Amino acid sequence: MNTEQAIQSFRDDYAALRAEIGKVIVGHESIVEGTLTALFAGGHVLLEGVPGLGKTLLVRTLSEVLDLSFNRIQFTPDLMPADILGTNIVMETAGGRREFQFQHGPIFAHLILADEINRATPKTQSALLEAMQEHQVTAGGQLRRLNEPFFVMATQNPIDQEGTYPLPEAQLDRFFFKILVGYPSGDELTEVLNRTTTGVQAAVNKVLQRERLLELMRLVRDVPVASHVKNYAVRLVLATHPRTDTAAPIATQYLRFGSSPRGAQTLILAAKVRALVDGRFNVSFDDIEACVAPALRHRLILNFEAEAEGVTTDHILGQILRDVPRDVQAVNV
Amino acid sequence: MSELEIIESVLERAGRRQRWARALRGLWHGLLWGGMVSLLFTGAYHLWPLPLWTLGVAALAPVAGLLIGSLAGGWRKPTREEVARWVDDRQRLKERLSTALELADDSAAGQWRELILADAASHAGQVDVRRLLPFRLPRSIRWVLLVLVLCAGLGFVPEYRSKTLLQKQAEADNLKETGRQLAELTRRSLERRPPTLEPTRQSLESVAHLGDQLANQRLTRSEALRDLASAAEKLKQQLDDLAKDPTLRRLEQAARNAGATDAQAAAALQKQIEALQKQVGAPGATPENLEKLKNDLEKLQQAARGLDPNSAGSEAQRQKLSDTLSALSRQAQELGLQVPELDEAIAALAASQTELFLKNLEEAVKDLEKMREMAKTLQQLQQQAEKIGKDLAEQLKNGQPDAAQMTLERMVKELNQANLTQEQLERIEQEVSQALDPARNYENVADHLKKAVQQMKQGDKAGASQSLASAAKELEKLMEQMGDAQQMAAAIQALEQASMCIGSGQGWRISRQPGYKPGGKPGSGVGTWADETGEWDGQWTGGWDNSGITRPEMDPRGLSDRGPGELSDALKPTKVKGQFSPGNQMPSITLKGVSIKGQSTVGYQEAAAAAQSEAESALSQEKVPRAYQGAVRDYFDDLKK
Repeated sequence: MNTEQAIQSFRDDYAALRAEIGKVIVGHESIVEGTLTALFAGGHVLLEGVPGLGKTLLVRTLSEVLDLSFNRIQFTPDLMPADILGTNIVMETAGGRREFQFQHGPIFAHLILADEINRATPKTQSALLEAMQEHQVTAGGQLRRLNEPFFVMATQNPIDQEGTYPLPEAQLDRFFFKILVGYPSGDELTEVLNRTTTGVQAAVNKVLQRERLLELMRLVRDVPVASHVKNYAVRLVLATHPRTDTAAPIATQYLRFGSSPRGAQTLILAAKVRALVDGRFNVSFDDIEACVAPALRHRLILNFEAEAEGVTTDHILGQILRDVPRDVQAVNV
Repeated sequence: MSELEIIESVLERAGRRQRWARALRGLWHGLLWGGMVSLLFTGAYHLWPLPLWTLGVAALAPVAGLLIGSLAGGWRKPTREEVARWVDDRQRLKERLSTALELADDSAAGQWRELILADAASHAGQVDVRRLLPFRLPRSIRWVLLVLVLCAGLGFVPEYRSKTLLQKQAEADNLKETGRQLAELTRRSLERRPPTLEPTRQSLESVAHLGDQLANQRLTRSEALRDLASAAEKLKQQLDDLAKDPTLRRLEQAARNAGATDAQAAAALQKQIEALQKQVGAPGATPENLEKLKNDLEKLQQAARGLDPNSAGSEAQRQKLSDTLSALSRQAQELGLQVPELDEAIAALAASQTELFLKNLEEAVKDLEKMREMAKTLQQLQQQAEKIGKDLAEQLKNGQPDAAQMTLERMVKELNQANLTQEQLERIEQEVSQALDPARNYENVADHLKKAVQQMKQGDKAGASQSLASAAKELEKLMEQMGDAQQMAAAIQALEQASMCIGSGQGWRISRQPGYKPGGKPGSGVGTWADETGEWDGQWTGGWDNSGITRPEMDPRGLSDRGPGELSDALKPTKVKGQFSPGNQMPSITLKGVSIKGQSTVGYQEAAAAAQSEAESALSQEKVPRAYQGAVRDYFDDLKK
């Protein structure tokens, strides 16, 4: 299969996935697109929204349309790292001997749903750090590789903060996208009611095999990016660094910390997926801009002034997009 | 054409058009900025007393802005990459062209390169550069128009200038103009007749230099007046030194008294007389005779007009007319006049061609009128010529040294001729002997003449010739010295004139001084009606030239009681102090004038002195015809009395 066919195949598979998910998930186009983008880029997704908006359903549906192993971990305050990673337990062998055997935790699957991740203690949350970044876990003094592809789809509730533990910055930075799940529109809600309050249950098919997914993920990384487009992503990330020469004024005013280099990586990878989905062979400024909010919003740390004034990271990123020119060398007439 | 070439071709066209568009935009922006600068400068000029070059800047700024703007806009050629990014942006090509250009040379890109190039080429083919970048007037054109209209409108608004400033400007302009006129007048004088004496030349050059200083430097009025007075004093001192020479005094006096017709003028006069005699023809054709003939002819013409061809007595009348006409024709012939129209008129009358007869009569009257004019002029010229001395003695006596010099040179030539007869030698000796007495007034001339007489008596023709030549040279030297003195006097007059112009705040033109205008023509004033060169141009049109008129009331009225270098008490310089601007110490101006009893005022004195100084300046520069010079002098002398 040549590149052109591979790209066409990517689009077909993406469309198929999109269609299958659409059978279950009503509306939330951008959320589904964001989730799929992170999936093809090999990144983890943090879905944030009030209860009942379909976050868990989305991830579960995704696991159903992909021919991948799926585990759901319900994060609770008493959840321990071993409950996620697994632990050595004493087992009796066939010869009657007793020996330690590693009992794999739910992390050992291709697709993990970390439901209400902020309800676990930071200690437990940190159990995911190594797995999310390096796709491996160290348990019982032994390094264990996770199966590829490995995705963590986490959800969290922005309200009802009693007994929750905000995710540490290091943990947040490991999420490719943070997607905010909003309320459905009237039409969407009507459709939700139609689908969920009748006896008819939508059935979805598996449309993408593991190997095929890995191929598509490799294809995404091959998409070329022009230097000035790459430069735009770099300048956007640099503009979030407060009190630097490259900082946007709003960043200096409202941010304590800006995005890490992972933010720039995320921008480029997400833009590549978007370009392929759009049927193009190159990444554009629009692709970069479209990915800025989900890719960077969880990587910016607000300062007290921003908290006090109620300024959100999305507001800051919007201003940065206005402040940073797309092409510094563009010739105007 | 490859895909890359398609892309490059589109980018090349887009780049070119982009450059033109930038040049066009730069042009308008430049015009706007230039217009704003122009508005600023024009406004500033209208509010503050800025120099005139401010308006020049205001006029040039829009043009300069236009040029600079268009050059700055279109100067830089954009790179292909820049154009690609611009086209991507304008056509929303999602960075296809720019990425394709970047990957075009990247062989590692493999199939992606081909795909991107093909995709970009297909999109580039749809780019219409003209639609992408249409040439249209920018929005700033409204501002450009507004600014230019304001500039133009401001041009009609009078400048605000305070009275003090206007006065200062007028003073400065007056100073400048006076300095220029002074310098030009002096330089003209130096060019026309370079002084013989070195001190005279230096003095005149210093006057010209002073004029330059006034014209170029920012001197205050008091400084200028001080400098002018100082220069005039210096010149007067020099002139007084020169005037101590009795020969020069005598020469000057003699020249003034005699109306001084020089040899060249005499020759020219003779030439004119000969030319006129040739035209008039008959020696008996005096103006009076011609006038009488013309009057008779006019009477005849009137009688002929009243002739009725149908009346009974018409034949008799015609006969009478014919007789009268024949008599007039004979009269004309007796005077030696050629009037063919009269004969033709007689023939026409005989043939009863009344109209032709009247026409011939009219032409005959016209001819006679012309002849009368010429005869009159001839008479005047002859009268004028009579004034020129006939021999050396008369010439010396009448103060005609140039004529005398020419006579001496003629004698030298005659003496040098090999075939000079004894009779001729005696005639020369006699003429020179007669001139000995009047020659005493001319320094060494008398000695040379005396020596020549003795040498001629001894038959030493060569020696006599040498002595006469020495006498001629001595006369020439004297004339040159006198010319120097006259030039200095003229320079003093000019300096005084300049002082008066600056002191009174009146310009050179208002003072009616015959100054020089650009182009060498004399300015308004006394000298304008004078012949600039003093030479006859060889054509005599008659009717306008009055240089030969001699009227009793215009004759010189004898010697003035004022000798050169010595003024009567009434003519001693009087200091008239004037307060020109309140609060400032003004220098005094020395004016020549007389104390007039009664209601005389300083203003009158100033006016009289100014008029006299103008007239004297005109006289010294020979702007006044010689026939009038005496009358002009006498008029001012009378004024003083």
